[in-house]
Formats: sequence, C-alpha cells, structure tokens
Amino acid sequence: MDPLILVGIASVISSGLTIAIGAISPALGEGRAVAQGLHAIAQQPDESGLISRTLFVGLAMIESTAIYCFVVSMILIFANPFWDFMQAHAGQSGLQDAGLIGFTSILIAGVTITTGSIGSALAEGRSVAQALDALARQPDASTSITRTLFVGLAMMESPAIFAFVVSMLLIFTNPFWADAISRVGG
Amino acid sequence: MDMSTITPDHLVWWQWGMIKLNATIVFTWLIMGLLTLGSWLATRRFSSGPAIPRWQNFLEIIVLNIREQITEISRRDPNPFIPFIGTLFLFIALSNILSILPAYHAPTGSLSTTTALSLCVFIAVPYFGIRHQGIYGYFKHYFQPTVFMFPFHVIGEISRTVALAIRLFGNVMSGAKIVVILLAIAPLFFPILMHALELLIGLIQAYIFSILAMVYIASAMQLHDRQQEPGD
Repeated sequence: MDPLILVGIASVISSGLTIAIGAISPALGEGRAVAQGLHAIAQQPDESGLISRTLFVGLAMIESTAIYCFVVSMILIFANPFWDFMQAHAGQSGLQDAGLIGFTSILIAGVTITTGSIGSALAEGRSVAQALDALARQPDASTSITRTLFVGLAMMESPAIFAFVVSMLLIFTNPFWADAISRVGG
Repeated sequence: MDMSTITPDHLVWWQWGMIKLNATIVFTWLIMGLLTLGSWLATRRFSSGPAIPRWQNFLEIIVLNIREQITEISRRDPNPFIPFIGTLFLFIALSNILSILPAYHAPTGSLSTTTALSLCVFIAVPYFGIRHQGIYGYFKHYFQPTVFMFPFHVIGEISRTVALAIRLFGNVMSGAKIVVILLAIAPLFFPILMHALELLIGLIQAYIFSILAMVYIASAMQLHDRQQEPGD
C-alpha cells in the first residue's frame, strides 16, 4: 500500500479511538465523584460551599486525563508530523519502511495514552468521592483532608502523565522514525 | 507555543556560536526580574503601624499562608524552609499565571526547567536531613530495616524526582497545547474556558510541587525523630 495512505488510515483510526476510549474512564470517575458530592451536601447542607469547591477542583484534576487524550487526538488530526512528512515526499520511492514505522507509532501513541489514563481517572474519581464523604463527616478536618486529597490526586495523576509524555515523544521526537526518514535521504 | 513542538526550548531567538538564547531562558529571566522587582518595590515602604501599604498586606497574606502550610506539614518551625519552598511556589505559580499573556511561553512547560527545579528538591532533601541529624544519622535510614533495602531506597528517591519533574511539565505542556489547538478550531469563546481551567491547574500544580518538596524534606527529618522516642 502507498505509505501516504497507510499513515492517513492510522491517523484517522487512532485519533477517533483515542478520545472515544480515553473519555470513558474520566466520565465514570467524574460521575462517581459528583454522585458522592450530592450525597455529602445532603448530609451536611451547611458545608455545601466547601464540598462543592473541593468537588470542582477534584473534577478539574480528573478532567485533565481526558484532556491528555483530547490533545493527542487533536494533534493527530491537525498537526501530524508523520502526515506532513509523507505529504511533502509524496510519490517518492523507498518510503515503505518509514510508512510502516509511522503507522505503528501513530496507532501506539493513541493506545499508550488511552490505556495509560484509565487507571488514573478511575482512581481519582474514587478518591475524590471518598474525600467528599470524609468532608461531610468531619468538616472541621477540612484543611488536612483537602491537602491530602490534592497531594494524592497529584500522585495518581502521574501514571497518566507518564503515558501522555511517552505518547507525545512517540509523535514528536521518535528516534525510530527519525532513523527511518534519514535512510530515505531527505 | 507552536502546534508542532512540545517545548519552548526549540524557540531560539538569538545565537552566538554555541550560546543560544531560547524562549525558556528569556522567560525565566523575565519571571526572576518580576519577582525581584516586585519584592523590592513592595518591601521599600514597610510599616508596622496600623495603616499598612496595600502591597505589604498582599505579601503578608502570601507569606503567612506559606508559613502555615509548612508548619502543618512538618510540625516544626517554618523559618529554615520558607526561602526554598516559598521560592519554588512563587516561581512556579507566577510562571503558570503569566500564561494568560499573549506570546508568552511558560518556562515550566519545558522539561529542562522542571528537571532543574526537581533536582533542587533532590539536593535539598539530604541537605536539610544532614543538617538536622548529621551525616551518619541521615544515611542510616537508607539501610533500614535491612542492608538489602538500600537499592530500593535509592530507586525510590530517583523515581520520585523524575515524577516531580514530569508531572509539572506534562500538566503545563498539555494546558498550553490545548489552548493552541482550540484557537485553531474555535477562536471565539471556548479557548477562554480552557484558559481558566489551565490557570486553575497551574496554581494547583505550583501548590503540589512545593507541598511535595516539603513532604519529602519533612520525611527525611522525621525518620530520625521517631526512632529517638523511647519505648517506640
């Protein structure tokens, strides 16, 4: 198959599936956190300001795993370095190997961030929910609960960030791709 | 940030032989200058009377809050830590907040800056630990509970330093990226919302970076205290 077509197919499949699969677990996590937030407000209506503030900051942290997937899929659509290279060298011979490497890199960049962020998003949703429950039970301990929550969220976020950085490296500074296109001679 | 680069390191503005002046360095200097100038201007007219200048009030709120957080985590006098932890927080927070300016590239969106910051933490942990309990007392905890734990302690310390750097870099970089992408697709209203979310995440990351640095330092100092308690 023409390497240009191969890279195009991989980009389309990967960008769609990245955000589709990557959005599942943040949505589940946020749903769980909001459900527990409503429960906590019903339990302690006086503390609703504190509870909803913590809930929204927690949601922003959970949301960021979905944003990583969104960034990767938008880059694959609008700023795809593999596609740009293939377009610039369209019709040139000897691009088969580079096309295969590009095909694999694009697909795996999507798989990395989607599967890598599932655990983080679910875990963050669970711990935000638990923190809201804790706030409803012990509003006096709110400073230490929220501090521990944010530090814990940052730690749980790291696996997703590692996956995100690896998938950006696969797209932008991929040594295998650089080697494959240097063999083509251009 | 351009859509096809992931760090502002590639944006070279001036070059003379081997010496390059890229966006990361320039904006780091800008933040250093702003912090120094701001502190100098604000501390010029300090008063302890009932009517205090507006800027003094502002600085007092920041410094008092940082002191409070440090005291709550370490349960000891915050004075030795506040120059280090406070600088980390102010630098990262200002660097992330300024990203609302056009044509600005947050230096924390470059892996070299965040690595440098987390290396500072990596060095500060043994510095405070040794100063508190001596060289022998500090390095003893690497061999607790047995000698075989030594490599795991070392791996743990290196991996948490790497995680500190990559966490900040990944968050700031993805925030800058999403705004660039949204500006290309829907330039009118939606990027503002994402900018607001990015500012919130930038502040949370500044908070988390300095809190984690303090937690690591405090854990290196507290290990010793707990062993000292009799009958424990």
